[in-house]
Amino acid sequence: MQLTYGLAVFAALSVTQAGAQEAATVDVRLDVLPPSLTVTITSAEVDFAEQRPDAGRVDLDPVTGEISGKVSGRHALGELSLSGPAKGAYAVAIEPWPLLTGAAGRVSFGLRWARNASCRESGFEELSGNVVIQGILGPSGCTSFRFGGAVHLLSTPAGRYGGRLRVRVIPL
Amino acid sequence: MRLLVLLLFGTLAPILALAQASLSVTPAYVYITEREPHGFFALHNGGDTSIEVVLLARYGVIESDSAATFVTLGEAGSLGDLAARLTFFPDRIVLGPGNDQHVRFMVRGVEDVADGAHIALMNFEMQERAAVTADQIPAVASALSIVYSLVAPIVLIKGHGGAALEARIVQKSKGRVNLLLTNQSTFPFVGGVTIWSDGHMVGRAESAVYTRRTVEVEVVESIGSGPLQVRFDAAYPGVPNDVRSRLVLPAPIELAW
Repeated sequence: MQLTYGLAVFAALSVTQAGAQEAATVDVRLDVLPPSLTVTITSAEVDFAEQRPDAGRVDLDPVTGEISGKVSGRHALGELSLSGPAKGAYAVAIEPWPLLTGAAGRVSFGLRWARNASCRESGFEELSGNVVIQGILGPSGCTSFRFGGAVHLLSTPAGRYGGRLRVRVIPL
Repeated sequence: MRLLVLLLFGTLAPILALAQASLSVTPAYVYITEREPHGFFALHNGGDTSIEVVLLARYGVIESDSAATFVTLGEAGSLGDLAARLTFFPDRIVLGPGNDQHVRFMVRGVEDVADGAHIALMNFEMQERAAVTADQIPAVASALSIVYSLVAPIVLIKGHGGAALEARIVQKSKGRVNLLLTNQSTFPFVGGVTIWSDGHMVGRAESAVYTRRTVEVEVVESIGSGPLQVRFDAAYPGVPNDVRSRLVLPAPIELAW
C-alpha cells in the first residue's frame, strides 16, 4: 500500500546523424522520488458563532455544514483537503481537547468529523468514533475532511471560550 | 453609495471564500547515513493566500496496531532519538502564494551515534492565529483553533544490519491480506513485502517497518490451502543506494493460512 511513484527523468542526449557512422549515446538518469501529499487548508477553525447561555446542545454538523441553534455571527467548520497521485495512501489522526476554556469557565466539547472521498461538493461521510483514519486517494487524487462537533451550554457564563484541535496528516 | 458597498461586497466575498493555503512538502520521508548526515525539504504553497508554517522535530515513529496506523511521540521502539541531534533552518516560515522555500537540516555529532537507525519526525504545522475574533460580542462564543500538521520522518542509518521481523495475519478478505509486521531490531525494514502461495507470488506491497506496521497486500490470485510465505525485497522509492546496501533483508517467514 504505497503512493504512486513520483518520477523525475533527466535525459542527456547526444545523438548523431544516422549516416555519420559515429557512436550515438543516450544517457538517462532516473530518480524515483518519495511520494508527497499536498495539504490544502480551507479553514483552520471550528467556530460555533454566538449562542444563548442556555442553548443546550449546539451541533456543528460536518456532513451538512449546518449549525443548530445559532443566535448570531458567523460559524465555521474546519476543512482541509489532501491531494496527490491516485492510490496515494495517507492517515489522518486527530487529538481533540475535550474542553474549551475561557475566563469565565469551561465548556465541554465533542468532536465530529467527516470525509469526502472525492472532493465533490456533497458526499461527506461521518467518521464517528475514530481518532485515526486511513485511506487511499481515488482516481480524482483528492479527498477532503471537515471538522465540527458539539458544545453543551447550560447556564454557561457569557464570554469567549477557546480550545485547540491538532490534526496530523501522515503520508504512508 | 449603497450600490458601491454592495458591489464591493459582491466582488470581495467570493475571493475571501476561495482563499486557501496549500502546502506541499517534498520528500515525504528522508533516509540518510553518517556519510552525508544532512538534507532538505522543499516546501511549496500552491494556494492563493499566505501560510505560516512552524517546524518542529520530535522523537517518535509511525506505527500500527491491528486497527490503524498512527504517530507515536516520545518513543520509537529500539530506534534512537534523532530529534535531539537535529539542526534545521528556518524553523518558521511565512510562505506567500506560489512561493517555495527549502528547509535544510543536518545531524550534529553523527560520529558519536551508535550503530542502528535513529529517527525524528518533522512536523510542518499550519495554524491560524486566532479562532475567536475580537469583533464578536459574545453571549457565549466558543471556537477551536486547528493546528494542521504534516508529518515527515527523517531516518539516519548508521552501520549495517537488518530488521528482526515477526509477522501475523490480522485480517483476510477476498483480494486482500493485512499483515502485522513487528520489528525488534535497531534497524528498520524498508522495502517490498511479497506473499507467496504454492510457489507463486500472489501479492506485493511496500512498507517501512520501524516498530510495528500493518501492511495491506492486494492479492491478485486465489490462494491455495497450504502455508503462506512472506518474502522481502529492497525496492522502495526514494531510498538511496547507500542506505539500501546497509539494510540486510530479513529471512522469509512462513504463516499458516
